[in-house]
Amino acid sequence: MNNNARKRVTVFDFLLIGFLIALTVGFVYFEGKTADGDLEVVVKKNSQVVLTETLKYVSEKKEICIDEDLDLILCLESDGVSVTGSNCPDKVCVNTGKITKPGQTIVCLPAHVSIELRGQDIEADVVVG
Amino acid sequence: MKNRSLFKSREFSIASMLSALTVVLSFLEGMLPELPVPGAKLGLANLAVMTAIDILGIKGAVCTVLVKSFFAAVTRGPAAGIMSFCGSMLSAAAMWLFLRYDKNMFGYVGIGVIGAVGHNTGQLCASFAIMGSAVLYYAPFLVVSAVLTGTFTGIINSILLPAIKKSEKYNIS
Repeated sequence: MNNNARKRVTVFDFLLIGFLIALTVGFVYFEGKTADGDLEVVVKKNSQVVLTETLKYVSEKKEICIDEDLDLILCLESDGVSVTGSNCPDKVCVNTGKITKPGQTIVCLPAHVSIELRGQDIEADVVVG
Repeated sequence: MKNRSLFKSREFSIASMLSALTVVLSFLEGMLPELPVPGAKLGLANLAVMTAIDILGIKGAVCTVLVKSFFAAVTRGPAAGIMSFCGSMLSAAAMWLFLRYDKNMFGYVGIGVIGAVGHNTGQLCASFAIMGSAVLYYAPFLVVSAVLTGTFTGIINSILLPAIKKSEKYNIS
């Protein structure tokens, strides 16, 4: 059908890959610029905030059960947050490990839970007047 | 008339074969160890979807995608089914568009990357709808993993597809 068959790799492939990498690097660069003040963990379930905690005030390791059905255990430490146990099938949340920087997120899709770290300075990213 | 019906059943059998292949490939993929990026997958099933697009056009691709997402929904729950459907559908649509209309501008690797990025974008959109903006944090990781896995599937397909086309004169499209 085609006179000239499709090649394995063309110049445009490299351009496409280069563009995507550049996009990612740019995104990560700007993401990294967000200030890190006191870390605050925000836990949402079904888009509703169910728990907020400032990590600075977490003196010792604390484990909280967020979802009874799936036994989703959240582990709070003074330097970061991790999900230590879950009965969900994919275990993406547990495999994410400990998050320590603002903007990082742990998501458990089966439980509809998201755990987000925020630097408190970010709260003032829109100032009007 | 007789020829026409033969043509259809042939198309149908290829479509069902490829659909079965996507199911097997996604199952095999589930047995592989986890990639370092949370939620990222190798996208082996994309091989069969890409083959379906190339041989059967968008019809065959939609068929394989539906079977694959149904399988995901049955074995891994409805959320996984929706994610799989959104991802594969966008991926299939993007790959079809480029395979058909780019006049061989991109190579198989480029098509593979387009498919993988499409897949991850679709999944991200689905989880965005379920979870809200928190999932956007994953976006850069998913793009990088899409580039790697897309290159991988693209290279495999650049070997597979010409061979398949040569061995059988599939003049269906």
